[in-house]
Amino acid sequence: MSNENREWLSALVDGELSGDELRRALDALRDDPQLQASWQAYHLIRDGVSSNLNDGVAPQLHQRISTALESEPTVLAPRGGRRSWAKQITGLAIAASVAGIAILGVQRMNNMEGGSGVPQLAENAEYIRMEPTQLAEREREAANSETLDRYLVNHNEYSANSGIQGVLPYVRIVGHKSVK
Amino acid sequence: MMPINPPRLLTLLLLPLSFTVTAGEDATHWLERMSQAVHQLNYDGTFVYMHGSELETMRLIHAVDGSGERERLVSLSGPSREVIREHGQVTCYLPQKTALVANHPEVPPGFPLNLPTHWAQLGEVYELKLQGESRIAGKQARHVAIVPRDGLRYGQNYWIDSESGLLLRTDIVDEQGKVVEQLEFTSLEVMTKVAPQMLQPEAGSQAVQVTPAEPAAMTVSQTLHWQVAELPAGFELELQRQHAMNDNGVAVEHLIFSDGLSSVSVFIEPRLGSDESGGSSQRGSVNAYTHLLPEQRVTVLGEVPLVTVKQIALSIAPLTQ
Repeated sequence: MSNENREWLSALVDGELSGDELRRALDALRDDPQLQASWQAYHLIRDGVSSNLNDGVAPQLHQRISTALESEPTVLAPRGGRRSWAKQITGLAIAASVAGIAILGVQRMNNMEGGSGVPQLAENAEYIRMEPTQLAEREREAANSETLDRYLVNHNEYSANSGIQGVLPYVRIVGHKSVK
Repeated sequence: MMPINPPRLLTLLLLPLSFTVTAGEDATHWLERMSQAVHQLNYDGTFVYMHGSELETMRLIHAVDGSGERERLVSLSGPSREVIREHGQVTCYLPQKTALVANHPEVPPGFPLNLPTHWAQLGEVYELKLQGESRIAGKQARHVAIVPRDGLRYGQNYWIDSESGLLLRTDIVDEQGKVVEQLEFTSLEVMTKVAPQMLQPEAGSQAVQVTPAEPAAMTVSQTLHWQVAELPAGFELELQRQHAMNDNGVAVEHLIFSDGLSSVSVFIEPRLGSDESGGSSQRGSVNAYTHLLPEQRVTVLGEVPLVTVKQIALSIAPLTQ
């Protein structure tokens, strides 16, 4: 996976993409099974971490990562059947927003392989599973919604004599982006 | 018989006339007065704008002098955003780069309160009724109701300041009588003069000019390629244009139909793939319906009931020569 791909995938997971970037990202995601696997991994990791770390712990994340790296250097080593995963996850260092999360995530998953966290993994796995059809649906929804947005802007802009229908077209245009 | 002196005669002659005005045309009179006042007065107001489940508070400053109108619209809730129109130039001020700014061939005539000027023409499809009085933003307001004569468009209400004629409150009512969109001033001050600094943007924001569209990007079509078999009464084609709205440069055909108050847009573009789906969508009071033709995707959108956009979408067809 290229650095560029890691960056936007990370941004996508964090909900930071919009407009054309979002569309391009979803297009690429649909066509690339490797990216889809990464997408799942990112979410699994994120969910795992967020359910495990409370707000008080999160600020010391970097500190904890450093400590973990020093005391357990093997954390990042590929393990058996997990090779491809580990490879993707170690490669995350460039994606700043999830880098720390990813490393902790690996550690946790390794632990889970030990047995204690297995039921939780099953729950999480169900929660984050995204079938290709669901993905395509979401992509289509996003594309539809963007098309409608574009239409709406044009509608408001060009229907000059439209009464309250045209009330504050600029409020709509300017206000639109406040809605996430 | 008592002699009738000239002033009294005049009164008698005028009586039936003024009676007619009161009964039938007063609503129109108030609406026309409002349409003028929002452009001709200096004022500074704060209003709440509700649409769908969203609520926004904005401040509107309007100034007019010999050189024309100047306006500043500032968001008071959510991310800081401003729109300033000065001598025909519209500039958005945003906290960071935000892509969604549409090109426009000309500055909208009714910025930011886009009110019709020809209220009397609405009579065919709407009934204009002068209702009672109420108090809004500390002012005495006249209430004018605009009631559709069929179920194919939304109704509207206007509350107009008795003194200045300015709009104090307005709402859109759907076919079930539910308010779907509402704008209400919580304070409004009419001034003799607006200080220049009140029209300056806040420091630290990024200016995005709303520039006229490139002539190549937008052409107003001369010939109509489409026909709507079941266009609701009162709606007429207001504008037809072709516009490269996408990054891929595919031309989108855009038709606007208006009944003088409600507008409906029709967008026609080539289908991209076989996995597209049609159907209805809604955002706030805006309904949209997408209908797939063999070659094109037709989307009809407007602040009208779903049944209206659907009726138009399903009855549109290429014009057979």
